[in-house]
Amino acid sequence: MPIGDLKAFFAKLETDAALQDQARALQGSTDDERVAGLCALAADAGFTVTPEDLSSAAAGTAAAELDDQSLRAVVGGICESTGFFAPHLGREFLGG
Amino acid sequence: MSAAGPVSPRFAVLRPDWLLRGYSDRPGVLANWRTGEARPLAAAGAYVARACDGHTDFTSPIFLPKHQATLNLMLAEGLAEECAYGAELDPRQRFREAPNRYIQYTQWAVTGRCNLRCRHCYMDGPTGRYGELPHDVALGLVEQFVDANVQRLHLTGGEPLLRADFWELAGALTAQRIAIHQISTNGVLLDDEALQRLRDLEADPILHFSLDGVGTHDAMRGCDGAEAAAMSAIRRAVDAGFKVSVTSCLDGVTRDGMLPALDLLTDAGVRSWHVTAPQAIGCWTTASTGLSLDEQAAVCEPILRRWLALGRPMLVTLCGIYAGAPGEYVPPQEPLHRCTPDDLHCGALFDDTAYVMPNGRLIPCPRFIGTPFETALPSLLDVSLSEAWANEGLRAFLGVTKSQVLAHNEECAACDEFGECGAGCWAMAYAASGDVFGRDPVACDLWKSPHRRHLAGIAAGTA
Repeated sequence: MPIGDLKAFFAKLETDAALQDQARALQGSTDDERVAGLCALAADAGFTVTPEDLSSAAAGTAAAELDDQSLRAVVGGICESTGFFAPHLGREFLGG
Repeated sequence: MSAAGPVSPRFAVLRPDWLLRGYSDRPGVLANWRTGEARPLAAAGAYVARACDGHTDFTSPIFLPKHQATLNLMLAEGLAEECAYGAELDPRQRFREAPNRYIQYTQWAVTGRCNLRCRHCYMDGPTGRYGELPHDVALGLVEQFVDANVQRLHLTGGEPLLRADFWELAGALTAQRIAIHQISTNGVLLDDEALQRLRDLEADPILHFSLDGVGTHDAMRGCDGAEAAAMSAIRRAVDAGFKVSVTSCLDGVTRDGMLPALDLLTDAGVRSWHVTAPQAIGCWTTASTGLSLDEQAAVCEPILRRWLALGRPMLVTLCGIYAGAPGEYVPPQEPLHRCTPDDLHCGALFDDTAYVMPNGRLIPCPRFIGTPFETALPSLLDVSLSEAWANEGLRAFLGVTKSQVLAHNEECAACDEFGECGAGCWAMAYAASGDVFGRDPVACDLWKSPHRRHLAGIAAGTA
């Protein structure tokens, strides 16, 4: 299940600060070495990720990956609760 | 991947006003320390934001197309900017995780003392009942706000500018990049020097004044000259470029001063005006000049008509009966949210919002000042804000759902207005009956009355 592993690995990478530090440390090498290093990092974390998986993912589109969650939700947006007496106006307007 | 040819490395940094913070219940929040704006991030967004450090190459295979798209959106929205390798982030912008749940907004009553003697003060300011914390202790609270990743503060009182160390506290907050989002003041001490000091802090707070009508303010505030001082401060604050908001308390004494206040505040360039009836807490519990909802509506209708005639010059909220944005009329959309029994009872407003009393007590909102709940909740003199925010009593308080309220309150359970009213406010219910699960008479009257629909019809041109 390599695709599943790829998604699971990136899900872990997005939330694991220590793993992120290790992944960022791969940057100084060449592209091929970085890919190989990332695959090794995934393996150490218990995931099977191949260079082909990464290549395929890199060639994909953001829309394909964000089918369950809009990009807007990823980046946030105005996320104010609404005012008690004025649900059509933001809390911002109501003095907090 | 190398077969695609060499790709130029791509680096980015957060723009200087944006900070990256994390909480036990949120992977990341981008917070603008000048404006107080918050961007709660999903895990992928937080991952990208953490990499906006000037050293991480976004062409690395550790980023998928969705991460690239996320970065592009952050760039487009001014949250981050592309840079050369090695650009440095201010250390205060870097990701910092707090052990507590998200606290977006905290009101901090920095003093319980006041230089006016308002008849409706919920803090009992005329007696200075709650005093104020010593300087070192207050600075310790600032550190607590930092440790808990409080994103923005509303400084209030009492009269906050009465604190001798107010500017030092404000400076400590902005030095730590905590947004001073609002300052509530009666304006008496807000002279040009004070406005300049605010400017020097690089803060851009909303300045929130009280003006209880033209010709009636002094009677409500218990001091001659308070109205002139407030209007002078309002005008100078607007002229100095600050965002200015005004609240006016409506009762039998101030009712005749409300309509003239609209013209005066419009001329001054105020951005928002909130007419509100005093709440039955603090000094107002013994007042006898309160108005019924019908009487409030009778005052609000001519205000609304005048506001429309003036071209909707500012945002207004009128005793909960009407709320309108400035500028061209836009028909109200469907409510963003209709209450359901599964909702937190007051979570819509307070699940990420705290109120720190002048004595350091942490309560959900100022409406609980002077109630037995106040002393049952944690004090920041005893525990840190991070610990207090997880306090079992506070969580139990904030965790009550509307279904629990409905189970105790048959009238609300059977009411057609529940979807909008949400069974009202339990602090108001407590003030009325001593039962937090009881009926909130203020909300009940409001939603069952015809006034909201009538005033909405006037604004829409259909009444």
